[in-house]
Amino acid sequence: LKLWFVLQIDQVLVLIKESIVLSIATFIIFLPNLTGQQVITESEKLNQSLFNYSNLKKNKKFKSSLIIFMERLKRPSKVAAFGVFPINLETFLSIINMAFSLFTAMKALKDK
Amino acid sequence: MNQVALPHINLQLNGLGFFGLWQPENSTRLLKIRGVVSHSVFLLMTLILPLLNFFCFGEKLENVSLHIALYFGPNLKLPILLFRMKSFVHLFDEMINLVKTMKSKETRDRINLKNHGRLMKGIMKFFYAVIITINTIELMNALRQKSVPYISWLPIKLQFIVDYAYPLSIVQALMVAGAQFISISLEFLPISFIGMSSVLLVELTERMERLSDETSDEESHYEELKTCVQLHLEISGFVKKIQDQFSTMLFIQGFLSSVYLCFYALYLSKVRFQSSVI
Repeated sequence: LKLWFVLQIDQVLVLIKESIVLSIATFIIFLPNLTGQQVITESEKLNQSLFNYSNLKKNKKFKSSLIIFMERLKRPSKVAAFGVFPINLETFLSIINMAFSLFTAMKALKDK
Repeated sequence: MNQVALPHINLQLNGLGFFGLWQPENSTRLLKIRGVVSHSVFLLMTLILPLLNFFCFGEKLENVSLHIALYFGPNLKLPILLFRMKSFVHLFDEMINLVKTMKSKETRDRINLKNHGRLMKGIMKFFYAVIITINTIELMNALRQKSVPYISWLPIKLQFIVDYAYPLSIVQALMVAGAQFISISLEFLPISFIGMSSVLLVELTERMERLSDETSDEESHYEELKTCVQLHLEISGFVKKIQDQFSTMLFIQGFLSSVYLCFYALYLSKVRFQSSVI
């Protein structure tokens, strides 16, 4: 019985260690994508903050500058890996999907 | 400013500086040599030794694949950092200047910046604590069994390992802990810069929301709008520079992380609990 308890504790410890490592590995992929997503979201909010601007009694110079600025803000800032793969939460999901597909393929190959 | 508002970046750069891997413009040649030595001792060795064991000593691929997948990325990223150190240092200086420029009467208390810094510092401290804990546990287990923490990537005869288990274990644990510390710091470098740009965008949004304030006169409104346009241009330029500097590192990070996750899942699928064997 004592041996059984020792083995159970060992199992739990192994399980905890492996889960921590796996969560950390996933979290490390998640973090840059989350911050990349935040940049996109905050850029979009900039336009929204001007759109809520209600004071339209200003002069023509001010209004035209505001419109030009709002047009410029329509394109949100974003970071892309190699200039091709945008860093956002969609990319995070693609990475996880890719890892899972790779794992399934390798496991199938190994089982054969 | 950077002492107060950017505690996470200070922690990270001090850590990298300890290994000689962050070299400001006025750094000595000794620091540069320390950087190359750290790269060789901590990162290259953790990659070369398992490869050597696999190619020359017939170790199974499944035993070394996890280490190779884990340390291949940092080994590719670190030379990029070292070769383009000047650009990274300039980018850092630009970020500090931008943080100073963004200071206004509206964002005087810099709550967003401070909260972000505190959160990121907490996350980084957590990661460093995990590195220390896991390596200590591995070291304790290895010492108890008169073995080494990562036996599969040590190209030495088993008898030698048993005879010199204590010094070998300590050296290996220190090497792996150093490699993991550098690896985590490298992973966090783009995260810190991108995170800072998002905080600067939050501050700019807050500033722009105050444009609708009716109390000030027309001319000051126009001046404030001009400042906001200028700041937006600067932040956009900063984000573009981050992309230019970190795009390769981010690609390596994303691609190799998925490979590592795959290998780790494979490793987990092989783990058999002792009780079921008994």
